[in-house]
Amino acid sequence: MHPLTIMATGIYGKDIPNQNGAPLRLVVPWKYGFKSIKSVVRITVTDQEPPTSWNMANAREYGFYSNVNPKVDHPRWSQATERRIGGGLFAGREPTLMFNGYEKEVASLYEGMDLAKHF
Amino acid sequence: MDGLNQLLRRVPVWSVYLLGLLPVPGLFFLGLTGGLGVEPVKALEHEYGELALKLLVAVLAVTPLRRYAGLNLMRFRRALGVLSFIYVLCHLLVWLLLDVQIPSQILADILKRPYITIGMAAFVLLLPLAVTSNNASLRRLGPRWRILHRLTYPAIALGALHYVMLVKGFQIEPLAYLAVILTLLALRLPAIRRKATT
Repeated sequence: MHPLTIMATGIYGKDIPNQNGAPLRLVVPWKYGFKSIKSVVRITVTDQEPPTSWNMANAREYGFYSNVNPKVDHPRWSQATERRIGGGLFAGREPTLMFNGYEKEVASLYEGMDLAKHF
Repeated sequence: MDGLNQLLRRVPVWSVYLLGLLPVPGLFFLGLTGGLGVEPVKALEHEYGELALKLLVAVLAVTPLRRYAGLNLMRFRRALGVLSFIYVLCHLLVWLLLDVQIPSQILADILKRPYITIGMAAFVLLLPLAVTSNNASLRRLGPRWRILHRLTYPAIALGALHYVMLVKGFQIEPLAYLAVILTLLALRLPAIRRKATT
């Protein structure tokens, strides 16, 4: 597992409650939130790309990789900029960073891939 | 129903405006003070948009309510229409000034994202209706006023479509709005009207 990923058993210093993904939650900080799988109860190691729920629900909008990528638009909105959560009504937009700011750590994992196709 | 209609006759139209406008500053205040959650911009945008759609449904319900239930709300219809435009405008302003903010991205979104194109089209259709919603325009346009204000129908349909398209996948709520709006529009088709009156 990449050192940036976390298997979380708790949140804010307490045990993780069901609604946040008990008993175990994956946290992958360079990917969009929906890739941080909740309630992990089984791990299967496989050499084939497994089907994933959001990709099955809407393949056009949710790819398998789901890396934070400001250069690839989501079909319904641009991903180039973001408003920080908690910034209030008048928070300005700021540029979204490639791989959520972890480019140095994880870009090598996707070397040679066309990230517009493998989104 | 006659008693209710008589009671309604005593309700001043300005009270509809007053009541209808309260959520504009009310929701904004909630957004400022944390009452709309940690993402107040999206929440405010959605609240204004949904209220606009609700008011447009109310506008559309006035004629069928009178025809099929005998309830006369005709006096309040223009107020409801103007209010719905105000909410559409607020929804648009939140999107422009608080959400997207960046002019080049606004233009790109309008051209590139069909649900935004459709939403903007609905706004453009409502614009001349809001401008001619005063008594002077009503007098000056005469019978053409009624024809012009039939633009309400496509505008509302586009508004419902905008909502259906902007959510993730197909969700019940926007589809329910679409169904209600299409039903209210269908009640105006000559064939259905004839069947109902005979």
